[in-house]
Amino acid sequence: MRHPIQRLHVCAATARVYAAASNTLHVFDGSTGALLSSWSASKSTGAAPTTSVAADTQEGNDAETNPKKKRKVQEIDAAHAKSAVKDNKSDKSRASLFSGTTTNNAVSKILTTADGKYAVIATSEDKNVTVFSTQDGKLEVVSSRTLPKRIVDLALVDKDNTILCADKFGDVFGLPFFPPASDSESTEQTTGPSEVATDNFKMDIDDKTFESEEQKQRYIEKQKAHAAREKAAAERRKRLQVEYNIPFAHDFILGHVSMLLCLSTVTLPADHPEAAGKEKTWVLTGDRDEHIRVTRYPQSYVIDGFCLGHTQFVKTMLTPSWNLTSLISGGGDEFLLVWNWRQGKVLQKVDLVAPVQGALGAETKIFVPKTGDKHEAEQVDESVFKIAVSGLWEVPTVKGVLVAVESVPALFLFSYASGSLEYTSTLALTGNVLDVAVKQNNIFVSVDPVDKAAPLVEEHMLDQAGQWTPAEGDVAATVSGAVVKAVDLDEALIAAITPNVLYPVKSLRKEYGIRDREE
Amino acid sequence: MDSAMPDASPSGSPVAKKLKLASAPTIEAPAVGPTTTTVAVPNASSGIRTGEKAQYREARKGKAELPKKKYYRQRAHANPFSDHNLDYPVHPEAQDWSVHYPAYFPAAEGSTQAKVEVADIGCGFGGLLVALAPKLPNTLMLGLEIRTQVTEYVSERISALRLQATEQKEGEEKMHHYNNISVLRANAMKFAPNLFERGQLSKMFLCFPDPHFKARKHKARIVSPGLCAEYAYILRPGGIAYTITDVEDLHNWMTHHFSEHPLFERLTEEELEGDVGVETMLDETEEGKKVTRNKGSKWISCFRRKEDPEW
Ligand SMILES: C[S@@+](CC[C@H](N)C(=O)[O-])C[C@H]1O[C@@H](n2cnc3c(N)ncnc32)[C@H](O)[C@@H]1O
Repeated sequence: MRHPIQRLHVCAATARVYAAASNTLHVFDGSTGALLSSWSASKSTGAAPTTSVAADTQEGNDAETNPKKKRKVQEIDAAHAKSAVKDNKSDKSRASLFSGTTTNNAVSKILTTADGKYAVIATSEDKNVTVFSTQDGKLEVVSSRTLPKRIVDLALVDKDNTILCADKFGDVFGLPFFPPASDSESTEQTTGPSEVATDNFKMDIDDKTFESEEQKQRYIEKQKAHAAREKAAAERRKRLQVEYNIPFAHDFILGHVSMLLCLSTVTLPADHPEAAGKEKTWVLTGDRDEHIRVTRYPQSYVIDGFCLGHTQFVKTMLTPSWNLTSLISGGGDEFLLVWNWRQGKVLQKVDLVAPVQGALGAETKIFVPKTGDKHEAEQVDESVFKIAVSGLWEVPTVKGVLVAVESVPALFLFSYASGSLEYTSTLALTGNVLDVAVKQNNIFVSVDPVDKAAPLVEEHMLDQAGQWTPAEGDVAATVSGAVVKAVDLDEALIAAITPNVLYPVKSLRKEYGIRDREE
Repeated sequence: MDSAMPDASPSGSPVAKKLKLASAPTIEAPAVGPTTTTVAVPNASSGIRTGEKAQYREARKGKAELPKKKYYRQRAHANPFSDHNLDYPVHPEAQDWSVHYPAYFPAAEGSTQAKVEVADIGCGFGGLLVALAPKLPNTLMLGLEIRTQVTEYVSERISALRLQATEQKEGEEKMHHYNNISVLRANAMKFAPNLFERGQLSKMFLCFPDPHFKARKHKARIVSPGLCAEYAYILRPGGIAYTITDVEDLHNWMTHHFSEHPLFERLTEEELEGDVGVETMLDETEEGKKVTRNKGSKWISCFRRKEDPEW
């Protein structure tokens, strides 16, 4: 049974193609399409946040020769499992509810480092961030860290030394690319100082000699009172801390009181006119409440601004590499917005209705809000198509931007060579677009094919004039064939669970129909 | 207030620095416990039928007589995460402030347009705004409140006061015009940046906020590391964030997170001496009055917005 490729990625440094179908990640040679290796995330998912550090991390391949280190790794897992169960009663019961069940623990994001040596992925159900080394195209797990909340997007900063993870609850955390040695000690903090105090005090009694039973009791009382005070103080301190429930090294970067949907970073080089002589990085975050937030990095306590103009969720953002102070964003609106994100100013509103209408045919009714009333979208018939932009990709060689709209079997090419974003052409495809990966002028598109025998990936060429031509070679066909062969899921399951893996965007639209509880 | 609240211990935490001001009639309660702190805003259980409430509210619109709170009471809790059917501007420039402050819009010829400078976040029944209005007579101030009926009450209250001011007879002691205060229904935790530009505010108040003190609910609290960054964004350098609560744990929480935030520094007692914001929030908010009646303690901490660091 076939599972479409929901995530596609081309590593810029190695030109390898990464393709993920359900919980399996494959790596292919970019020029021949040869399958180099595959890796599968678990199908059934646990719930306890854990970290596991593979023995052969960058610290050297010394696990075999260093049994102490190997044991330590196992201890971490055991300790984490224990503390997680303790801290996390509700999650525990949830875990037992699902234990043994198969879920579509789909790979939701694929990144590679600039040097091409590592890949980072997020998986949807087990909430893991997994780092692989990719030497010779062989996927080897370097580390796997479980976050308490579902991961919606990832980005790399600090010259690939930090992984930013945006979660469904609106927070962004920075994780060191390689889990530091201190991660193995972090669980010790869960042993409260109170327990430590009690222990010391027991030992103390055994060592002490008392002149009378009375004196001993007095001493014990005194020590007990002391321990109680310590405990109270520790509890007070604990109450001041935000409990993120992340048992490994992490930094809180920023938080929205909303569901985050996308995350990207921009670095302006020192010689950029807006960088004032010093390289600077910003984190851009898009949420379900129409906000795009611009935050400094790493001084993420400074919000530099907001880009406000969308009237629906913001699902995807792109800062074109040839125009770093502009930003293109899309989501639940039937238009894209082009911004000067430094000033939070809209430069252009780009209509998508006409191109989408062209792709879907004149008989399809497309929703265009007229009243500005938020309820309008809910009131229209199900048969009316509501545009939801699912992805934006750049093609720097032609200064082009590719736009995907969920549930549309076409890709829209816009030119951003002049000061404005202009619609150029539509590439018709054999199925709805799921993901796109750009390798110079070669465009790989994973589709949900209408014809169930058609390939899962298409490859097209965009020539320098911006014209679409068929790609030579058969990388796409080979990739597709290998993925079809590898994925083994039962049909009923696929039918039941792929819709939200392949079409996650629609459901983000707000439902105002349900009246507020308190009204 | 949060009925599920405090496991607050009666401890005199060293972190909690109680601010004592000469004018502050605060009495130290022996224990901050559920009995003194659950002075919940009564909800629809006030014994008045819904129909009767609606009728009253409809009938009193446009009158100079002050509205009665009991017809506007509402369940004390609103979920800050849910998709409330809120109306909010796409961005600050899209907000029509002239309906809120008609006396100030448009600006008189040759003068710059006044903007909202003070925000009372979770303003409840509006006591702070009404008391501050004559003290900062030409500063535009806005209450943000998530509960519809409570917002409506404040709105009616302000309209009535404005009307009273215009209907004053010759010889009566001149009352304030109340044209400089208004209220807006909003989820301040999500949509403050839709209403205020960067650095627009000189003061913002967090008076007796709902504690949401279950550890796992930290995201529901009105102060958190993420929200402090947003408050720093809407406040101008030199602007002040005021907090007051009768819940010691919440006081410690707010103080800790504002103090930890690199763009805020706590103001000392000396610096706050005679501060109009502190005096008003101590005595004039509805919650503050209730705490005084119940002889509870009030905990205050205020923070100055620092300049953005060089980078
Ligand atoms: C305990 S009352 C205090 C009211 C007032 N500040 C006083 O001191 O009398 C807290 C108020 O905050 C409001 N509130 C809670 N969360 C809010 C939010 N996210 N946005 C706006 N108001 C909110 C509640 O509806 C409630 O009226």
